[in-house]
Amino acid sequence: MSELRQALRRLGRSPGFALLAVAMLGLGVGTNTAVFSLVNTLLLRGLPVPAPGDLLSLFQSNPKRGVERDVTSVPNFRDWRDQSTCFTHVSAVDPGQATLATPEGPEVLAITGVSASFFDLLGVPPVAGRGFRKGEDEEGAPLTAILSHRFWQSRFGGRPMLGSPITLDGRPFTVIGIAKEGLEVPVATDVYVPAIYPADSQRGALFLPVIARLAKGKTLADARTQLAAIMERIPSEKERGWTASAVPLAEDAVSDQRMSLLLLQGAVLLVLLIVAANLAALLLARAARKTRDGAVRAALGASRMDLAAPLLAEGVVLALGGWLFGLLLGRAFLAVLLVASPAALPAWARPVLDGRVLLVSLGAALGTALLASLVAIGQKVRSVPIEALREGSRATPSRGSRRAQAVFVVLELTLSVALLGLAGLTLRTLSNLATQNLGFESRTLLVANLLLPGAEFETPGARRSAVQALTERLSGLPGVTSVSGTTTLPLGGNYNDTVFGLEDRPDAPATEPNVTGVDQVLPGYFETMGMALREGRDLSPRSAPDPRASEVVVNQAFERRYFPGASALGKRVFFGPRADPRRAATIVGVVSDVKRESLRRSERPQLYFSYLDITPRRMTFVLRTALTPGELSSQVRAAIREVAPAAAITSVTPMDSVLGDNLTLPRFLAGLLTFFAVTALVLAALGLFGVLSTVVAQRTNEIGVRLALGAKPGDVFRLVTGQGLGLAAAGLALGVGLSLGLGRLLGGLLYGVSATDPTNLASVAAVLFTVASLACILPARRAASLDPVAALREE
Amino acid sequence: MPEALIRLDNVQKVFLTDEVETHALASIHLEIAKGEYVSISGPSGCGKSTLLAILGLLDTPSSGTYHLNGKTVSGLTLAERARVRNREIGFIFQSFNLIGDLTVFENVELPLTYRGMPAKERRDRALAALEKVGMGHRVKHYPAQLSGGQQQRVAVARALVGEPSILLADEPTGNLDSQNGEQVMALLAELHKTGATICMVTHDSRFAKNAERTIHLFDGRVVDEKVPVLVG
Repeated sequence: MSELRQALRRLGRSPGFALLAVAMLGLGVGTNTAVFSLVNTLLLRGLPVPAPGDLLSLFQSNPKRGVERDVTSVPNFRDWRDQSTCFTHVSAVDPGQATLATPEGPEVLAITGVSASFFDLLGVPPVAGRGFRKGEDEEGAPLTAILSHRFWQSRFGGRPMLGSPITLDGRPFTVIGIAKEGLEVPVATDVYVPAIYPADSQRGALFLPVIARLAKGKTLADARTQLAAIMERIPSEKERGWTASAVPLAEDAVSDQRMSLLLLQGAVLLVLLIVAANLAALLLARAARKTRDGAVRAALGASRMDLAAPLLAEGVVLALGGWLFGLLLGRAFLAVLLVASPAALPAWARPVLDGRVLLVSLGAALGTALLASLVAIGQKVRSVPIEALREGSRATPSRGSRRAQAVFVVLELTLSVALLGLAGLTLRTLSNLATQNLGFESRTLLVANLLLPGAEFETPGARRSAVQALTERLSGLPGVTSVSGTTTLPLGGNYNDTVFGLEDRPDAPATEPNVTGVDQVLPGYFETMGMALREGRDLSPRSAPDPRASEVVVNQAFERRYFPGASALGKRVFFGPRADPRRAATIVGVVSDVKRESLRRSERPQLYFSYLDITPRRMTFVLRTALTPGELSSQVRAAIREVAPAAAITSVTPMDSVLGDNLTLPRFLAGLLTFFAVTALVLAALGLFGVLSTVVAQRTNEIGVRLALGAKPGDVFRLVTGQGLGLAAAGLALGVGLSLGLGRLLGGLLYGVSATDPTNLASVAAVLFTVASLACILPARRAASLDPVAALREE
Repeated sequence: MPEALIRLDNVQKVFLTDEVETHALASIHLEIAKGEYVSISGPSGCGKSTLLAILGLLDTPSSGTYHLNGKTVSGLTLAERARVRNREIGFIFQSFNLIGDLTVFENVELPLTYRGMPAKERRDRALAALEKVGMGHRVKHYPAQLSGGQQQRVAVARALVGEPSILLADEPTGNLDSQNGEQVMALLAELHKTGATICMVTHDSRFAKNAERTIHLFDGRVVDEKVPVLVG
């Protein structure tokens, strides 16, 4: 304890050093604490339910069709649930949207259809009321609902709701429970309702996510084997090549974030290494100044351990200071992260600084400080520096100490270059994703998502009329140049596929059917979206469906895939038996490809029908405007309420915002990596500055001699900057190698840029040399302005 | 002749720097008896400090043997040398070499902490040593708050506190004015009277006379050894 007390006092007598060391450690520990708390929440702590490791996500796959994972159908779900013995519970989790009837009009909310066993499966019963009972998820059962805690608080102010009726999509439900606060597993939702499906649901209709809980003693491998066996017993599925499998739900829930998080954790560990190297250099310089103290202790009989003890004690004190400061910074970083990118994390993941995070951050602080201390100790206890005890000796670092400091600076620069390289690649990825040709013009486009719920829109005719009236009204708004609509907005998160056949072609085998994306659009959609019509014409404007004259427009990817080198115009596509003309359509146009499912995914074949042919309840209006799209939002909402007060507005937002949602994760990754890289570079620049300052102090006499012999200040300036830039060049060479190695690990996170991209490497080099030059200027100027007479007096 | 506390036989010290050999000490034969007060003098660069460093086990001879208290200490490991330094040798330096971050008391207590001595015993002995040099009233001060003479008294207390076999003093008055210098020399003389063995490097002939025997070095060799004639 007395060593710690004395260390505290020694550091108190060197406040500049202590504050700098604690600030550096705090920065390293803080960034690590923030990122590790995310890793802890998402990858280690798991889902906020009992025994989260036993929860699985079930899915089906078709290796022959190249389908790695897909949701399942209702019949398959029922077979898995009824035939498996590996699970205690199996539940559907069917997220969607519904409208809640309110006195102010319909309100769109997130609704999730679940099986009656859902809350038992999670092991988290509702905090008020009860969960669903067996039979409540079967046709004919009374309609019941359980509110999420968040929705209960925000929408109903937490007032008693058990037994109260609510109207969802025009149907009356009774509230039977309030879910536990923060549950939001596996998806965030406002209301849970029983998932009720007709007995004759189609096995080919894949739309249903399914989760399950492993029974005691059963393993993931058991579950996979059994699911595959069940699928083998279903002839139609076996014939079409479908099988089934499972993955841990926790893994599934963070599949998008896993790689990014691990990369960020690696990045902040590099920052911590840089902090360790910088701290080691600082401690070496301090140890050099305290050489005489060490020599005195040695002369008084201090053993190596005795000599090491004060440095270790200082390391511990600095570590504790850095840890406390790091926790504060970590909390602040985390708060900024969550505010800046709330959508980057799943709703259930609320990072907190729990015991594990505190322990890991303390370990990081102690490890870093002690690693740095050990380097200084290694220099100090090697021998007794007798000269230091003599009168007139100066406390200057030994040659070994200077060499060690230079090595640390090169290490820091190397790691900084690697981080800069990674940050550059993620920034280029973000830029490539944001500025690529989407196939449509997103600027000046406003999108309005609607649901047409309840009895008022029960018939296709009512929906058609409403859509037509709305189109006319929205077209009349000032500043709107054209209006159209679609059921699946590109990059909007919803998309549908369909299987089809082609005229004059044999049927595709059942295991490898022709699959295309499909969308229902209103007239003028392509023009409003800014998609180019490459061949033929747009869909005919009609006021009612005409089964005898069904027509479709395809995209260029469709034409390339199914009619390579030929025109698709006039060809017929079938969506059912060839003999049924009602399920056939003629291709009347070919439009440019658009990014549909994701900004990264290349364009796939796509078919566009008229909305009139199917008239679903969901519709997205697209409005091309002469004004800034956001300015029109309130007018669009008012117009919709005026024409169709029973319609529920999900959102009215500029298309650029929709694109922004698709960029959340790349922006999160690029932003953080850039921040860490800049932090690393600043630390490395400080390290370089420190080493050069020490060198100038040590070579004062030599510089005096040079000046006396006729060297010009410019020569001295170049001498010092040359040394600094030499270290930077070494760091660059090593760092580029490291960056190339790490860049390969990024793999799927990159887009439109490779790890070896020469522009990126050149940019990194330019940034490094600019910063290194800045770090050299002050010491070099100090050296160049030395008074030769005074310098020569220096011993 | 009393029993020899220190005996050097044919000790040499050669420094090798950039392929140049410098013979700092050559064929040194030296004995210092228990309770003796010896001074070592000679011009700059004659090897005085090197000899003192070897006597204090801060350095090792290139050849020859060194016996301390009847035991050969020339081949000890670093840790063994540290232990012997701590128990057998007390150092007094020209520049005091007090540790600026420690109080007067902590500076004096320091050698005892390396022995693992219990805190109470350390405290009693450190206070006694400080009283002995007349610095008992400054225990909580830091070195920078003391005059040069006071700092050297504290350094003497630190050298004494472990009750070493010998006190090695390297120009102990070199940084002091004459009045303070004389006070420190009087302190050493008093310690000698109570039985302390002292070996002092000095080039000040006034203070060299305080010793019972003066050894004169030149170019690393003992060129003269005499008992001073006390005047008056």
